[in-house]
Amino acid sequence: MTEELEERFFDILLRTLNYAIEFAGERSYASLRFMDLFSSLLDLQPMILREARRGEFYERLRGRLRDRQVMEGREERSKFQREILEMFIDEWRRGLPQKP
Amino acid sequence: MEAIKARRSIRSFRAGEIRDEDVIKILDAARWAPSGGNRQPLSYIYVKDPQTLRMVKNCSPGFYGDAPSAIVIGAQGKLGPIDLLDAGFAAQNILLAAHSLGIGSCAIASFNGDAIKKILNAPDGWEPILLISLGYPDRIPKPPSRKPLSETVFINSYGNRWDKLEGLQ
Repeated sequence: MTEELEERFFDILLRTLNYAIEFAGERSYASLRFMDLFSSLLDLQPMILREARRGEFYERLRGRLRDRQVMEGREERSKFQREILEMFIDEWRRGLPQKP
Repeated sequence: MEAIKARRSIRSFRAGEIRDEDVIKILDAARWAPSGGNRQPLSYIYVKDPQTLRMVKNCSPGFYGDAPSAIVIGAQGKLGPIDLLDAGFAAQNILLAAHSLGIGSCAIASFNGDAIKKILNAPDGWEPILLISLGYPDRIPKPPSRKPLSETVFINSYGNRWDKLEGLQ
């Protein structure tokens, strides 16, 4: 049950990030707002997943977001979002069973 | 014509893996799609591993429903308009072949290409063009409306109505 919740949390967080990326090129606040939602979900993690297998990963993500309190221009934001996305894919890959 | 008119974009799937033999038929249909100059620039990644598919879905905002598999259509190198047309031709063959086998599908253009490449270990320069989800339909949507032919087809010059089309639905 906990494992399923953890996987679903990971998926929802990643999907939210991808929604932010989808709107990154648009002249609207949609991307920023999805990033705000992403950040709020991430803050919820210690409350709903106390013993998260990916606790250290989420802590690193929060650290990255804390370092970015001031959002720069669209290009910088886009670059930052891509970096965060890469962290997710690397984390997912780390969790895959190793091929013999 | 029956397959063309009855095919729907399916975004709601019931549980059940698709047989590999059927997917191979579907991919063979894509292989026989027209290709500009017969260059055949496209390649396909069939994704059925649940963990990989889950990540593809997470990185594709346009991917709806729990499809058990997907085909990623892509090509190597800088994509030109002919490559994109080829992908469109191949995609239509995939959608129709799937329909003829009782398999539902949906073309998905909203995805994060960089993420998909990384998830699928695609080489540098290979670009995904279109995703197609595949699975057994849970619900078949009603036919969407289509503009009448008389509104979209002209004869001999733009704007010149073709009387034979008047009143056709």
